[in-house]
Amino acid sequence: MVAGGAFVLFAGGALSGCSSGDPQPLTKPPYTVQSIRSGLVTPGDLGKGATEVEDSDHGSHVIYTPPNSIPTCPYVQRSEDVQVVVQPAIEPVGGNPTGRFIVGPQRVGPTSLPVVTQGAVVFQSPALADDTMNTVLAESAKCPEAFGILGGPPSVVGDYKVGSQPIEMNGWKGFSQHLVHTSPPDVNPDTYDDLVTVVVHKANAILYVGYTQIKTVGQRADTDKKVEALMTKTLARLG
Amino acid sequence: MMSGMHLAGRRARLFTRLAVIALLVTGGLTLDLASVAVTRPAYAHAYLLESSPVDGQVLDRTPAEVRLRFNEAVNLGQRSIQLLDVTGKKLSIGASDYSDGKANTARTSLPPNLAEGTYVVAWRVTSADSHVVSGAFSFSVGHPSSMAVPVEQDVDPAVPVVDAIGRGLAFLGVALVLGGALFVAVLWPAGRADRRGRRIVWSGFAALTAGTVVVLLVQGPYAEGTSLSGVFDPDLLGATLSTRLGQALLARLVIVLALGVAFGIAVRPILLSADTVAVRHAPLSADTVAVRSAPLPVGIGAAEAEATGESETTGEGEAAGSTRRVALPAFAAVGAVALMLTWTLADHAQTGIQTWLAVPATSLHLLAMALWLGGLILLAACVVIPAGRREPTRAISLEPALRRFSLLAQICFAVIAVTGLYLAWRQVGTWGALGGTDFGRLLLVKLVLVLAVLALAAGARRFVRRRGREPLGLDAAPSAALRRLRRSVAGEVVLGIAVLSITAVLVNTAPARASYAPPVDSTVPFPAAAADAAPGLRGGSVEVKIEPARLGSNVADIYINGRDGSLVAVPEVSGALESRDRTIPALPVKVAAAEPGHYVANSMSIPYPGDWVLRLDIRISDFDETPVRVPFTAR
Repeated sequence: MVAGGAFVLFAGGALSGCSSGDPQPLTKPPYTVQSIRSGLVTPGDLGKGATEVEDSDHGSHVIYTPPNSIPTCPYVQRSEDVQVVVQPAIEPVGGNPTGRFIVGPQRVGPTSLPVVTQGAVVFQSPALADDTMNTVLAESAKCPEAFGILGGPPSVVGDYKVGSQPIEMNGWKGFSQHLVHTSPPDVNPDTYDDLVTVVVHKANAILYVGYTQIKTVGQRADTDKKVEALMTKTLARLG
Repeated sequence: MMSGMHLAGRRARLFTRLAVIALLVTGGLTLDLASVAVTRPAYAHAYLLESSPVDGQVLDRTPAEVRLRFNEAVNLGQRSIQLLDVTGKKLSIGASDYSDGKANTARTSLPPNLAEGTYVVAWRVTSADSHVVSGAFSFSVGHPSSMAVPVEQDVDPAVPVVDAIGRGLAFLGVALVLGGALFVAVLWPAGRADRRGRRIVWSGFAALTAGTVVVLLVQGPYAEGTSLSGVFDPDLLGATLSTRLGQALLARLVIVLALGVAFGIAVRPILLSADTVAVRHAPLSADTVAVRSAPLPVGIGAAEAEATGESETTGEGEAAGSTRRVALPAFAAVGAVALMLTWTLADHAQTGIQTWLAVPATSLHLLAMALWLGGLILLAACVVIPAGRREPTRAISLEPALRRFSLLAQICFAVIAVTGLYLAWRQVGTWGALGGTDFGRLLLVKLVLVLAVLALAAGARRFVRRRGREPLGLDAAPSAALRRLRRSVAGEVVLGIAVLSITAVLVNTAPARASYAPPVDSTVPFPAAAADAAPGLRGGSVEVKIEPARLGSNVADIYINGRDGSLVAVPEVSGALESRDRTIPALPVKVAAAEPGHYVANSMSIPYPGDWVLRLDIRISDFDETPVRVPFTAR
């Protein structure tokens, strides 16, 4: 369970994002680095007890992805058995990133709030955003359906199952990538990590959200439904 | 006098000839449409039955052609079949045509020696009910490659909007043409002498013509999935005119022209003697108003005679009068029916179930709507609102127009209710489809608006019944009652136009019965015999959820539940899709693990609607495997 909690925090660090507002549109395209932040998840969106930190120190994370990058296939870089070369994240060209923000509870566990790791990149033109999104899509399509991590911190060791689906919310289009991490039975037989990474694109912006929960084995994963409900609300603020 | 008789006779003969020509033309086009409807039975929107190559097939070499077989005849355009590579780039291929002359099978040739990798075939055809359907599937040469971008058809969103506006304009126009003309020429004795009433009807002709032309021009870009810049493309227009919808729209324009001529004759003053002309142009006297207020027999000629007070004892009056009493009503009735058929023989009515009943029912529904709404608008604009204002310069009487229209509205509502209920059942089919589809939800909104109209109409009906029993009639109603009536009728008009607008969108929306595909959520018990090898599964079950449970790509979630409902992980789950009647070989379904006890088939391809079985081979130990069959229906 402790390993699962640590994994969730690492998952937060491996992804990116931030912020606040009510469900009414607060801005509209073209977005700026400031205006796009109104579409990110705030502690108020997540629930009581949530806090927000800016993740500016990627060097401390077990999964290295630059804070300004857009995730495509988290954790694959630590795998020893992946046959294809996959970039775990894309560093955008011609865009201004918001930085990466983590919203979550103080202590992570099977009954706690989830952890949201999020960010966005605002481009000088929709064409640049289109090109980058195409690169992200192409790279995420290479993400293997299953891989394993044998070494490293115990929190990331285990089997990974990946499934991806296209997604569209409030005019934002992209993909929702579901990742389930189960630890070896001798390390943690009781819980698994339920992580969904959503990357969506609209106008001159790309926005990503990683939503991570710890679930008890035997429970159904529900992160994909929760993150879709949450982002339907937060993206509505972007108009 | 003799020259006047001669002139009137020539006009009557000319009109008769024009009427015969118009009837032959429209009748021919209508018969052509009808024969097409009879000889080419269809089932709502077209769907793909099979393709070559099949979805997901990996081929050793480039196939010579792509072939698509649909459940019904389809119309092809220039971009009916397109080939895209993994980046979404369109590749040059041959033109689309029919395979072996079969109207339900499209084909196109492919270039030889395609590079190894995955390709997407994007198709877009026009169904028998004039609506466009599209889809895509993929095949690979040599080996599959990852798709870089989702496949989308580049449809200009403005095209369906303009199309809906055109259809709405045509609906409003036909209401003003039929309902308005009936009101002006029959229900309201003073109608044909009223400039405002005539103008409104003429504006209906203009709206109907404009709406029809808009739909005719937009259909080409709509079918091809291009932008509005293609509305005047002669090739697209030619392609539209070769379809059933194009022929129906063309027939409609001819009928509108013929009805316009008929209306012009109906409201045109008959050559009158100098005395009669003097009477017509004199200010209305109390006697004249009394004459106009008297009960009239229904009929254009009779209404004309009494409205103008003219005598038909002269020869010219006899010739023109016989034309107006017999030929014009007959021609108008035939024209109205033919006009209705230009919708119902090219739209939802002639596809799906019970077309033999749906076409006349939809025609009646549309006709009743047109007569009611068109008459209501004329009643509001020319009688009720001016009468409510008590304009000092006009002597507008509610009698007998309001009383007659009230009776007509009752008949129309009865027809609308009966046919509407039947058509709603026919197009929706189930309660789930009512709330679960765009069509059903639009229909519910329309129903609410219609009920609001009925509530307002009931108030107006009470006014007519209550005030009609009083000795001085409707015109003696107090000002407050007239104001309420005026507001009620104006509200009916606004709501009626709102209903029309929704209908314009509704007719361009896939019927709920065809589009409703409730997600499959089926649970089957885990085989007891196999549970011996996996004690955790004793008393357990296998739950399968399939979305959207229709042809094309679907997602199947498979949950292995223990007795207490918690998920139980098994070493492996594999799957295959079997047709219920076993007419085609089992199709492999790729199943991947998600969280422990949950397995997902992310791209389960269902080739056609119907009854299917998802066969799951569940390995419960290193040596034991048990099959579980989950039947389901795909729409």
